[in-house]
Amino acid sequence: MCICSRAVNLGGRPVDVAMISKSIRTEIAWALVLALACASAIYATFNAIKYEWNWAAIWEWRALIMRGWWVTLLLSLGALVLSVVIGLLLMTGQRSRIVPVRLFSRGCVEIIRGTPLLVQLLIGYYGVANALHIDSSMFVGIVILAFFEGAYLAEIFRAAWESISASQLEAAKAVGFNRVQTWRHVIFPQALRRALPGTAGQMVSLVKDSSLLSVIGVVEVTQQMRVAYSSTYAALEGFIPLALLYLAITLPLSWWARTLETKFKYET
Amino acid sequence: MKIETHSLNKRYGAHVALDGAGFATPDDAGCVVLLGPSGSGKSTLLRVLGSLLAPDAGEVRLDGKPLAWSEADTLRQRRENGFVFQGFNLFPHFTALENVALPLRIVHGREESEASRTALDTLERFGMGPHIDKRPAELSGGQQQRVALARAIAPQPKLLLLDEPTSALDPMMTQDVLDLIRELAEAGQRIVLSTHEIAFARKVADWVVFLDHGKVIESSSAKEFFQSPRSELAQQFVEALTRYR
Repeated sequence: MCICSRAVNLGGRPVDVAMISKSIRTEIAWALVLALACASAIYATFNAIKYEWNWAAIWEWRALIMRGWWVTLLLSLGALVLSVVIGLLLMTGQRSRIVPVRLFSRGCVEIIRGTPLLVQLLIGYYGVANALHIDSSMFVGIVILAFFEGAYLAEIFRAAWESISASQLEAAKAVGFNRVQTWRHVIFPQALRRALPGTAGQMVSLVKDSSLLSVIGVVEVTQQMRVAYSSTYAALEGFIPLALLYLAITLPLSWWARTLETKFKYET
Repeated sequence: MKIETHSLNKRYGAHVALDGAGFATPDDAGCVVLLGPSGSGKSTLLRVLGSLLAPDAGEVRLDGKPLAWSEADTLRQRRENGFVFQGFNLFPHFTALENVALPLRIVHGREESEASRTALDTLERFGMGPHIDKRPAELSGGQQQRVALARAIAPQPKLLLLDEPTSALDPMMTQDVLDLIRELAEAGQRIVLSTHEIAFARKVADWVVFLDHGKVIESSSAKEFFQSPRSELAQQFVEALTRYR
């Protein structure tokens, strides 16, 4: 798909339509072949372990599982927005001329990226949140998750920002842009385009990492599923829908990021 | 325009780019050309003259008025200038038209329709009419440099500064762009140009400033400079650049 959409985007250059539809057909054909191969492999695997499916048992729990999925979706969205804000703050902080601000931001990024999310959740909830008398595990979970992913985003943003060449900054000065105009019209749009692929990957990670929030008592989809299969002993019947439920959030995210990438495409 | 500098110094770490550079043009200098070997300080001097770069020490006067070097001052002074660079330096995410129109709108306060019309007129004047909706990556080097020229002159700058504007172009494109610069000069645009195109300098320049190792070796009328360069270095330089022309 990406090959042909790139061809179309080459600035109105005439493109052979017959060639495109042929390449789409080839892609669809290959997608079907690969899907079939995957399905056979999965079938062969479960056939080999002679697993006895019990979908009915897990179906009983569908309402609770979906409630967990909504919790996952909402907390992911919240953490996602907050992580972008934190990422931008930590990135700007690392570029600050004020020494304590720079050191603090750098330290945050290194410590957050260097320690497991599990540890941060436990210390954050049972330690910090407790001391501050904050009870909502959902709120604390969103904040900690946002900090965790925000630290990674800060580095992605910083790399994108620093990849803007000195000649672009000089050109901005030369046409008379002030600092804000340079940021708004030169740095931001170009850095955004370069940060998109990394950011999309990080957002997908965030959605999956949200499953760890169960350790502080957030009843999200993975936790609901655990409850369901420990009552029904239908573990695999739970895991497969669980994977699909995560994909239902992560695939649209990836797709959205790709659409944005195409939209902001301007280099050759 | 009278351009004067007094003992300009500029260092980049250990590298001395300008080392007490000083010169003065007559009051009516229209096109000033900076000549000199690579690394002689031409680009740095050009950037200082255009307020794109503050010197470490020294003074610049344009028509007798000294330039100031605070951030607000340099911004105000830069906004009266137009720049063209060796590497074009267009904004890759904007179309040709937007590259020209955006500064008119947000820097020079023109209305949207007026900015677009001015940008379009200027681009058409440079033969870029058919390409206004293309982004820089879709244009050849010569076309990009025409857009860059259009961007620089659309706000009607007091001073147009060109830093080796043809060094990245092939010979045909070089001639095209030089023709445009010549037309601008003949139409009365005041220009400071650094270049290695000595034949062009001979035809178009009113005044030549010859630099080496950050110092001004000669500052004289173009006629005088090309007919009888005083320093041996300038003689060798002119001889070397004209050997195969």
